[in-house]
Amino acid sequence: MSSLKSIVPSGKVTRLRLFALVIFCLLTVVVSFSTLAYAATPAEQGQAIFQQKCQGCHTIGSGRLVGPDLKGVIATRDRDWLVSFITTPDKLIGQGDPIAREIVQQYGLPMPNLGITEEDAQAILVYIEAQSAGGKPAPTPTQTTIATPTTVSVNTATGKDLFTGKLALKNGGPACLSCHNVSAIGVIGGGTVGKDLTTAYSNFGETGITSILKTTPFPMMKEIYTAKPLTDEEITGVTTFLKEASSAPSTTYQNPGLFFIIGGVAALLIIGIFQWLWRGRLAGVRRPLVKGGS
Amino acid sequence: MDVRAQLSMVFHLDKCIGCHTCSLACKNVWTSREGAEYMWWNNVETKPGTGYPTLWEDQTKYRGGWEMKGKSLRPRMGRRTGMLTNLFFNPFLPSMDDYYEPWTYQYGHLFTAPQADDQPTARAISKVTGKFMDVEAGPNWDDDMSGSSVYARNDINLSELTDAEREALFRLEQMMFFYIPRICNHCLNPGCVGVCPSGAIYKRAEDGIVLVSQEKCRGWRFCVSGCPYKKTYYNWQTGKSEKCILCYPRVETGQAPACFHTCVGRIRYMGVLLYDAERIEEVAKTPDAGLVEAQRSLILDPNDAKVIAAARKNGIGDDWIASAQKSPTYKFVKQWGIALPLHIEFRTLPMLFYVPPLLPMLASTQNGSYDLGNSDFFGNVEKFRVPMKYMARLFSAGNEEIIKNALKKLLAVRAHKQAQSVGNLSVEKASASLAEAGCNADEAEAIFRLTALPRFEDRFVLPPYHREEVIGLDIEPIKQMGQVGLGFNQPPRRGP
Repeated sequence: MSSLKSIVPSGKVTRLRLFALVIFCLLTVVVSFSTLAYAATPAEQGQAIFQQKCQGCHTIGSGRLVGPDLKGVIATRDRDWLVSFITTPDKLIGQGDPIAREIVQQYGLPMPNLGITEEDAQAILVYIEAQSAGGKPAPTPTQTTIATPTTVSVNTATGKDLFTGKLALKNGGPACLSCHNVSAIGVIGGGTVGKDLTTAYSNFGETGITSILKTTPFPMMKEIYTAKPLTDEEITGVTTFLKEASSAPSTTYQNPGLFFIIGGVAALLIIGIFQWLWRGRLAGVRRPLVKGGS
Repeated sequence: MDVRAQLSMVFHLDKCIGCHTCSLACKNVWTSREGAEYMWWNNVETKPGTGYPTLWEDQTKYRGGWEMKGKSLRPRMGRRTGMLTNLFFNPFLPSMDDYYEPWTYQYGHLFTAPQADDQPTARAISKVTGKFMDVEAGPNWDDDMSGSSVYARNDINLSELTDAEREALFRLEQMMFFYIPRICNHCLNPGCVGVCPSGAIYKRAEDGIVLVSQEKCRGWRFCVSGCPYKKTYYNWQTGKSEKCILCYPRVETGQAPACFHTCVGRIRYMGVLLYDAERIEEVAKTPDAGLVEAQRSLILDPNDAKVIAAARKNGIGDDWIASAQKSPTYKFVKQWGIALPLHIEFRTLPMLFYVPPLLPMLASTQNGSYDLGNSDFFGNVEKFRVPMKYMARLFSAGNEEIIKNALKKLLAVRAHKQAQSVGNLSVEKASASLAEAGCNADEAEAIFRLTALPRFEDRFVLPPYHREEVIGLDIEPIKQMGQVGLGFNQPPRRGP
């Protein structure tokens, strides 16, 4: 009895605490069950994720955008392979998976890792399966989210200014030039962190470019532009500029060595100026003395 | 009158034998650390010579000390804006070669060398690169006039001499040299304090010791070039500058600084001087020829009732005033006027004074015999081997009268004692010599006693600091024991 007594809590305060604990546990259980009860079906969940993360580049039954049309992909590919490619495309491509490589070659662009969990990937697949099986084709981004480019009149010059950063982006995002180069913007060119976008328009087409700018699906762009998205006018402007840029003959193709030559000359110039400014500095006392002595 | 106390020093160069014991005592106590290898807070130089670092006296190169620009006194480093533009690159610093590349020897090789025809040797290894090196310079490379064709000949104090005089100096029979031990002068108008951009250097209120705050120092190294005596050094390990601290932990506990205490020739004297801080700027602006006299006038008579009253008003304790009254430095500098500052034309008003050396007179070999050319053993000032122009450049900003008077007095003291104890000089002649030097028998006797027969407590009259009482107020004595000494309780960090 005595040993039991020591284990079983007694006293008013202890009982109150115990009561509170039980209530808390019960509440937790109730809340989690209620969420479960309200959770969407896998297909609905899949739709939500698809619209959020995939729609920028893919359609289901509406043809190719940046990436392939995913209608019927469940039938042609192994399900496990699909899950691993959706969750970690970079890994598969890096490992030299033959199918992944083929896709990259075909579409000219590797699919970025979008941080999709395995659970989400399964949901997406359920959604794609449902859509492929004869459901109405999923709305393409152009139909739903993107304003038709032609409706807004933004000329190429404005697009160029937006690209180079002469015109600041409305939501405060950095200019495209920071990371990308296009041959049409001059000798010095843009950044080399991202891809050269000279041929981007011809590769992806108007819809592709627009959807990329809208959804910014690539990891780095995602980081940068999710909080500071481009407005519809800006997207139209930049797209128009890229169209111009790709159609224009690349007369001023960027010479990567030129940048270093200019940098080197400037550095030498600055060093020269400093050498002149500090020409009176002390360059050793003892050594000249010894050399000058007998 | 703004009376302040300064712990001042006198070095009697006639007694210096150039043994470098002072330098080693200092090195062992304070600078045997990484980053401080090349620092010689105390060093001994041979004159003529270029000293350490090489040609430190040449301020056209290092831009130390102060100069008169119109009516204002300015650091030779330039104005504030000029210094600001040089903040990240001080163009007037001595290079490592001007100090020396610290080295050690490959002692291990002596034991591990394989058997061979020749004896193994311990080659010099650079402490900087760790590679074998040819030792080309050291902190006393021109000691005893070694390499005199390069070093002694380039002593800038010889610039006033004619070519013939200069040639004569290096002739064997006339060749002369003497030693100058140098520590921080703890100046009244310190150049290092004046140019420090961080405000890290300060002159201690109670005794005038100049210190670098290791907390505030940012390692700009302006003090290194700003000090005309090149007595601040940059520690590459801590990224801060350091200098002679006049062994304040020793002085505060009633002990003479390490270099003073160990001095073999007993050339060093220490005592308190009272001075008028109000007149520092005015004195520092005095034209060159009047600088020594002006600085002397700055030093106040500790027996003057007015001075005592003003000192008390400034918070100087009676025991410090009593210490100043007994100060040996006051006697040498002010009363007798035989101790002179080194290079006072840098206008930092150094508080380390030198009794100039009596270098024997000029002799020549004539008719196969060594002819002293004078019946007096020491001769007279004009016949000294060392040209007065040279001594005046060192000790009296070019004013030959001052250095001659000091040397005449030193000669007169010897004549007086010779007449008294050896008898090879007549008393009349000795008296004439004394009269010419403006000295009397009593003063000569006093100079003789303090020069030749001083007791320990005559040489070092240290003021009572009462540190034991100060420490007892806020720190536990046992705790204090573990906290004193050089180094950091919290290691210093580089950068801001």
